[in-house]
Amino acid sequence: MRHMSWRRLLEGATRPSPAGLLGTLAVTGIWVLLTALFLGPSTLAGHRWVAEPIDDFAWLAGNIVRYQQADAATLQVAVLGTSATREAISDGAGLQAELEVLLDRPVRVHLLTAGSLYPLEYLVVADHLPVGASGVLVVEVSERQLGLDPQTWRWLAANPRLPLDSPSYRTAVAEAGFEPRSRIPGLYLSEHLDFFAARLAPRALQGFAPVPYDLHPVDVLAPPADRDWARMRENWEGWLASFEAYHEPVVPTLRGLVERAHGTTGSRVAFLQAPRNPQFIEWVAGQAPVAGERNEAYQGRVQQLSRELGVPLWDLLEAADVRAEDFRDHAHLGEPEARERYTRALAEAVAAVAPPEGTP
Amino acid sequence: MARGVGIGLQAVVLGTLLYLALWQLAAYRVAPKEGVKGGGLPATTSARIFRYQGY
Repeated sequence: MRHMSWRRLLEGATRPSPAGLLGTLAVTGIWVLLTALFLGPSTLAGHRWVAEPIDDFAWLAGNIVRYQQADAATLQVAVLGTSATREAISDGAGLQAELEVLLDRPVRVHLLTAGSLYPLEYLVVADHLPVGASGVLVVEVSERQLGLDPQTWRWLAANPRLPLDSPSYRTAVAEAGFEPRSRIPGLYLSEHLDFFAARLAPRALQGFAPVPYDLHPVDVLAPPADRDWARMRENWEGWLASFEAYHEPVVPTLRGLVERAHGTTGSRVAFLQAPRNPQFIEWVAGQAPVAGERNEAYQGRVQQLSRELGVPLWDLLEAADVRAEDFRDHAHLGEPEARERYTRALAEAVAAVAPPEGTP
Repeated sequence: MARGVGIGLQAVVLGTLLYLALWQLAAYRVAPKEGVKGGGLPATTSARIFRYQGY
């Protein structure tokens, strides 16, 4: 009798049957349902989705969620920008320590940086600002970010890189004349499936153990060869040409961020010029005067924008005594001492505009 | 009864495998290709090349 039962069990388990097919589909459906129920933005805060030490967008998404959940009683300082700003800062803890000494009060620093982050993506942060928290929001600006060309707009419209719902992002995409991606509106997993799909297998194999994030990946790169400098020059000239042709549709995204930060939080906003290697700029401008003229035009436009929006514009290279030899390439600092000076200069600038204690 | 348990086991195993295969399919669809910006993708070697050596 027992022998017969095992045979029947084996038969049921191995032979195809309508009941088996229905059960299989039901189990898959239950897994999908459970995933949709439990996989949300809150799972990002612990950085468990950071798949590699340079997985910028998973790290940034976690930091945005943490920023949004920030304690309103502590001064919140967020630095929003690209790898150029990230590489210029020693680390978040260093900046926080400098600020706490300067202000003599608890401060929480949030580094909201990712390689090639665009102002369009700043709008995701605009939709996740900590309501009612007082602080300073430092926003990197550069010729590259303002020169967002239509091809990149289209790409970012179809491939949102941050796994966070952002109505402002979608609206900006639509207002710029592009089609925002839409799968199943309102269903988080459907909208951000790509982000999780790309990371699930490596993270599962690592048991979701934390992966330390590398703030300074340029440190391991070899010094640029002549062909690298030539490519950087070509790219920089391209960014400036894009700035000249396409910057106006980008301006509303910065305006939207500043207005939202002033309205939602008690934050002061400041623009921070992305660090650029002065020797590189001089070299390219000497070789290609049109690039120099476009760079001047960019500087003029960003100064005008800063006045229009009533936010200060900081260029900290001089205050931090950063020189050409401190750069690893055209835009990334590579010297630890220069990073420390830059971090100190940034802390001093932030401290000078920080809202007084007790300001709502 | 025993056959029903067998069918249930089959459903759990195949249903789970199908679910994992769907994830794998989604991952394959977004796998980075050389020259493509690193976007919702993990920071792979390609993304590293784009970000730093591509400047």
